[in-house]
Amino acid sequence: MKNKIKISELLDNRYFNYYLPIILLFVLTLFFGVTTGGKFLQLQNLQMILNQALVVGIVATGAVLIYSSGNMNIAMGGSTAITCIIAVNVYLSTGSMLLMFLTSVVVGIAFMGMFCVLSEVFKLSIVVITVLFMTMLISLQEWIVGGKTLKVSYESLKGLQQMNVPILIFIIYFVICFILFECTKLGRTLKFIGENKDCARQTGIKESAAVTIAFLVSGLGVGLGAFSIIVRASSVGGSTAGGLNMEVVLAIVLAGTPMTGGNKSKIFSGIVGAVMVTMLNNGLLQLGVSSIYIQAIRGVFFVIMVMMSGKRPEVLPVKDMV
Amino acid sequence: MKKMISIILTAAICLLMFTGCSTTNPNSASNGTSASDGTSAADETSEAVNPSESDEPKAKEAEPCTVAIAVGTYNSQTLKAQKYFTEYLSKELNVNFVFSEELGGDVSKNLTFVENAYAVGAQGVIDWAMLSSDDVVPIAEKCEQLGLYFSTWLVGSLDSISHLDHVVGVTAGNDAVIKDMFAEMVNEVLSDGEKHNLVLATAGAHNGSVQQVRASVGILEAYRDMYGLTYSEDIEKLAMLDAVTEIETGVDDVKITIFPKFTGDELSNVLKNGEYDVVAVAANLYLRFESVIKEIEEVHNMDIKVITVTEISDTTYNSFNTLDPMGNPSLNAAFLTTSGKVTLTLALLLNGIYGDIDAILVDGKPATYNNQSWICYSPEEYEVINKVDTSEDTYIYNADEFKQMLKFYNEELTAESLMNYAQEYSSKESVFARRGLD
Repeated sequence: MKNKIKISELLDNRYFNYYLPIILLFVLTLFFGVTTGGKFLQLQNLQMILNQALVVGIVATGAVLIYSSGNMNIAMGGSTAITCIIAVNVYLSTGSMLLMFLTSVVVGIAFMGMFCVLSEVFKLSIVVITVLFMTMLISLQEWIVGGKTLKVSYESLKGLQQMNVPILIFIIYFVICFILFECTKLGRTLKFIGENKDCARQTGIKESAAVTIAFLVSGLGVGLGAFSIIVRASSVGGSTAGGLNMEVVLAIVLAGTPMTGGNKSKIFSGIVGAVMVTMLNNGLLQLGVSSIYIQAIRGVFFVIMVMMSGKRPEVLPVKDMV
Repeated sequence: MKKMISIILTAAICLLMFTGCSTTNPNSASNGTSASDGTSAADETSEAVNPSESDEPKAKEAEPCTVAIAVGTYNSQTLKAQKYFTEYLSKELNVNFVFSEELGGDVSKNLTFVENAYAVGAQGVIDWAMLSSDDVVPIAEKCEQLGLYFSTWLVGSLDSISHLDHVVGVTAGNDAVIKDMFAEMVNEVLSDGEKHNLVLATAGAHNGSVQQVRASVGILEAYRDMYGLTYSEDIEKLAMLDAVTEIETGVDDVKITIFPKFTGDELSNVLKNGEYDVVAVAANLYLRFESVIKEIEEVHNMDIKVITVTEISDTTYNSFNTLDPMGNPSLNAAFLTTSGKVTLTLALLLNGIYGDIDAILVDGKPATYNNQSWICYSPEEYEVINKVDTSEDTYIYNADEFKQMLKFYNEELTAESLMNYAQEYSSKESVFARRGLD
């Protein structure tokens, strides 16, 4: 009984709660490091894990802003895929890498802006709009690409890969999101809305303005994620970004941002969660666990984390949240 | 309390998920998915093992190595191959296999798998996921960068990756033979002297999939020769059309529609009027179309003859043994891809891993190795074919035969001898004779 109280106290501790995902990440790293005899901790392996996690990390970092407000966007995968397709087509028509990059960014932002506008026009919840678009965008992807592959010459992207451009993109984007989420009123507003929408509204907070900005910033993430996919895979096909939606949600929730948003949302959830999922795959595979079991283990992790993050605060938002 | 119940239920569901997993062979640590095959073949395999063989001294034993296999979709063919690799070849060759989860055709997922394979300590990667030569390039480049040998069952051109040192070669059906085989199937199935209208599902031919182009060309040529048709365009161009098109045949009562789509609904639209009584499918898509064809047959009380590419599986067995409303088999002719093709990718890769890549290069470059595909016309014949690859006695290549494709065991091996060996040993006649299936 005594122990139980201590654990619940620990779980309620603000700092423990905030840094728990990072602690978990270190524990996982240590666990796999020891069990694989140090193989897991080799620099090249850690670099590969980071590279694999980047696309999900970028898109999920932007998505944290949306999730923190209690909203959801389950059209992230479809938006990213279509952005990839448009950007590659621009590259194939112009041969300009810069134009491809700019197109990715503009289209990504445009998609998210469109969701917000449609939500306002049709007076529908933005979540409903993204649900509708999720299937539409997948169909659109299949329709445009079909069984074909849009290919950017591997040689022309090799330089960007060697310069670790996706990592640079992530760092810049993360800093932008960190500042917006942790150091400005926007972040606090979004968390407040996620914590208690009615209360936020009565406090005079303009929900739609804050959520629109969150969507636009996450649109930038979609564009940058799309560009990173192109750099990594040098091609776009019918199944590009197919599982991205799920991976983004998984990453965010695994790293402690509740699906209901609010005060517990953390900007680093996106990348920490993405790295955690990638580590699980990599580490378990190194331990000889079959891919099929890894999927199941990932699922169990997800369920546990959702349950842990499901607890809602029993008090109204406190002063420092506004 | 509610949370506790949810956790218990989740744990129970997870445990139940694993109940179907095989535990018959302790060596198959990486074989997580083979169990979902769920056929009785697993039992037959364990009974068929001859324990006395393992007591024999081995003349030569290779160092243990790890091979990673990227799988696009776990279908009957890949599951059978996985079982053959992990439960049979693994112990015979001292090779550990790491299979991926289903990767689809996503290049990013494939790259991630290659990187993880490297982390696991794999020396080579076999790709059974990517279907276009374009998609294979980044995968092959990644393998090159990590020093992993690479082989694939690529159906397109090898040119884009032939400069890479770690590409050991690719396997494919013999293009010239494929065309003739499809022409033969058309002639055999439509030998009644009547005129038949055709829907030709060209699958990925419009994207340049070589096998599907050759198959479609073979069918169109057979139709031309059978009915004296005059096409308005080059046959290869027709085979590569990317929209549903009724092509000009020059003969009023013979209609041909090119159908480069993949869904049953779209096929239903073409067939709904009951004008077409032959459907030919140039790729392994028949299962998607089967129910639609059956519906049209029932609605119009007609027999639609089906010529298709398919795999050796119980589903194909059922198709051959299911009668349509007119009392004919649902499937009239099947072009079967066998496990010989995927086995050959392993042989190529192991030659690379064992340091014998030079033996399998042609003029210093990786080559395309062909494998024989099979044709089947009747349920009786399929009954025999269905026994192939179900046990140690019926594998297309047993361990000794497989070793003949490795220079490590067969010092006489050259690229030419391997090509000839693969062609000969993967033929239906040869397999039937060697396995006593006649």
